Amino acid sequence: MASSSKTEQKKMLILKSSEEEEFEIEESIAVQSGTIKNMVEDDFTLIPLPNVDTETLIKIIKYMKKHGEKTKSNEKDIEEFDKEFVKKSFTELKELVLAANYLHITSLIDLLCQAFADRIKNKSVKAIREIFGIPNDFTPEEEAEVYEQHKWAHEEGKEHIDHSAY
Amino acid sequence: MPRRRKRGQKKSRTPKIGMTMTTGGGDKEDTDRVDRISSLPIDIIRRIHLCLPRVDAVRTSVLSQRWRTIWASHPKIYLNEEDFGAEFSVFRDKDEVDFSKYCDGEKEKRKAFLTYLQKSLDIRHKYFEHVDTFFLQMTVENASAESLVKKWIDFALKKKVKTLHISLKSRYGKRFDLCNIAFIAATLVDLRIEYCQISNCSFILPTLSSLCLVDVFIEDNDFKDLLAGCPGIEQLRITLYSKKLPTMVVSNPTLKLFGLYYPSFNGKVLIESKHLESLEFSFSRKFMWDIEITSRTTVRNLRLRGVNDQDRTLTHFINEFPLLEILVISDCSNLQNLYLSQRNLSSFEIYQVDEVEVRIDAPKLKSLEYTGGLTLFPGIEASKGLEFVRFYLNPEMLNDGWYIWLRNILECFAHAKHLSLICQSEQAIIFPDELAEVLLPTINDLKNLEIRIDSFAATSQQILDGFVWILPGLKTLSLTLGSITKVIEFPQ
Repeated sequence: MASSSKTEQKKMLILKSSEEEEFEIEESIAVQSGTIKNMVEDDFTLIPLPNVDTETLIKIIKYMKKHGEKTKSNEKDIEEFDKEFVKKSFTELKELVLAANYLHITSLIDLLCQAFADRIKNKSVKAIREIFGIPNDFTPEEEAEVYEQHKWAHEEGKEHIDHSAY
Repeated sequence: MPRRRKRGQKKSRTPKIGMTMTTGGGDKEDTDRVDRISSLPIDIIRRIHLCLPRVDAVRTSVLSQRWRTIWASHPKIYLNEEDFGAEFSVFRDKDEVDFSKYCDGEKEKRKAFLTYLQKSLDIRHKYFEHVDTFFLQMTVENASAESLVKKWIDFALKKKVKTLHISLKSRYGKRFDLCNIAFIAATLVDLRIEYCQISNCSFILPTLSSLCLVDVFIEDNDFKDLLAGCPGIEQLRITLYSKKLPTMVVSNPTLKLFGLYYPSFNGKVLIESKHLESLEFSFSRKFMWDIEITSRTTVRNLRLRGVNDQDRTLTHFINEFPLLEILVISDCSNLQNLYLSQRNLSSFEIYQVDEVEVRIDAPKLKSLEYTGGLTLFPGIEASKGLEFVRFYLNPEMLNDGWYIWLRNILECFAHAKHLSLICQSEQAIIFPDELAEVLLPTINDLKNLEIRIDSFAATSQQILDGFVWILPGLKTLSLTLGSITKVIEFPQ
């Protein structure tokens, strides 16, 4: 690709987590992150990521490595990987989506948002509150008002209407 | 992998049973109940909304104050009476309109929608955020509904909407009278109006780039004013046009794309825009248009559908655009010959035509796609740069001449870098034994071939036995049966 001069050696970068742990990674794989790409263009090879803790960084590197080797024949393989990748606790998913957002890895952000959406889909409001631990800060009157406003969405049998394209 | 404590967390994480996809459960201690989603940035929550079916997205507004605010200030407003079960019938054919639908049941649903419309507008006024997209589809049955519609459109325009899409009918499926509305906005980029009768409206839309009118009725003067009010327009699409204009004239200098789809009478269009790049015409069997374009040398993309070539003018029409790069022809009837001379043509797609003789003089042709009857492409060998050739084979057209035609195609396109045959059943490509002699001589120049068959019925051995014998020069064959792809390499 680029006019590489001497050897076949691939350019490596070092990513540093918020806990100061360092991880080596090929540049060609790391630039799936828009944030890292920008830093590389500014000639950084040691990339400090103060917003990403070590555990999350390890997972993200795993994701980027898998997606970095995408070819036409291993699409199914990557699909399986993605499916397994999102089988994590909500806390982990939250850390991941915040990190992916910070790092501007679009495909990962989409994957994680879809994972959240999949857990919200077709569930009652009560169940969603329970699952995510969302406290109800409405007064009973306010809650009734909001409910009334979108009554049509809360009715039975509306689930089949899918206009998910805006 | 060593476990690490996250900063700020009181205890180390231990794997929790039930912390999997669908079941609920989380921190069991109420005192330690941590909201694991609401504190995500608004952009992320909006992305999650976009991944949800709208019903679920709307429901999140009752989760908490924050969720309510985020949903209520969502920059995309989508209001459709069909969500309330009301029927927004698209067919205006008098015989098809079922007036019994306008009985009490329908009325209730429409009333409910109107109430929702009013309430939403009241709430929206509280949130001063901008609006990105506004979509409204409904049947407007009385004066109060009409006033609500106008208020909503005004609101959207004031809130700097970028995309505005309104689809409005009045009673009994008639066109809605869209009149006395000022479409004045300094941010509108995309406007689409359906089923309305437009009169006495003013249009000052300096940033409008795309305008789409579907089944709209508009007088000549209003049409001219409308186009004049969009000085920056780049794309104009008109569908189901039914007003009998003697000639439609379009002359905006910035116009790049013009599309006319299924007009319901014969007419004429004159396009004087000097920088026109793309043209799209879809005709039905009954109606065709007389099309005159001033700036023919700037047109790069041409899409024609449903052209009836009984006058044998299609070839001439196409060749009047000497610098085409992309040409798509489909569903044309009475098409017998096509003699194209296109020095820049790079991509050619031709679909759903019967047997045609297609001669193309296109030295830069890179890509060709075809589906239809036993069409011949004599002289195609001269397009030496052909890279991607795709034939979608239709086994319904199988007859005696089929296999001879297929052999001819393989021979003509042997020089293409990537030739693909795509079919739904292996019958389309396995040569019957009886024809073996007739199909000789073998085709030695074909080196790479891709075959995709949508069914699992065939085996790769059958394909090799029944088909590949005629290609002794084959180096690689990519064979997809169902969803499994195999690449077979042949020793030389």
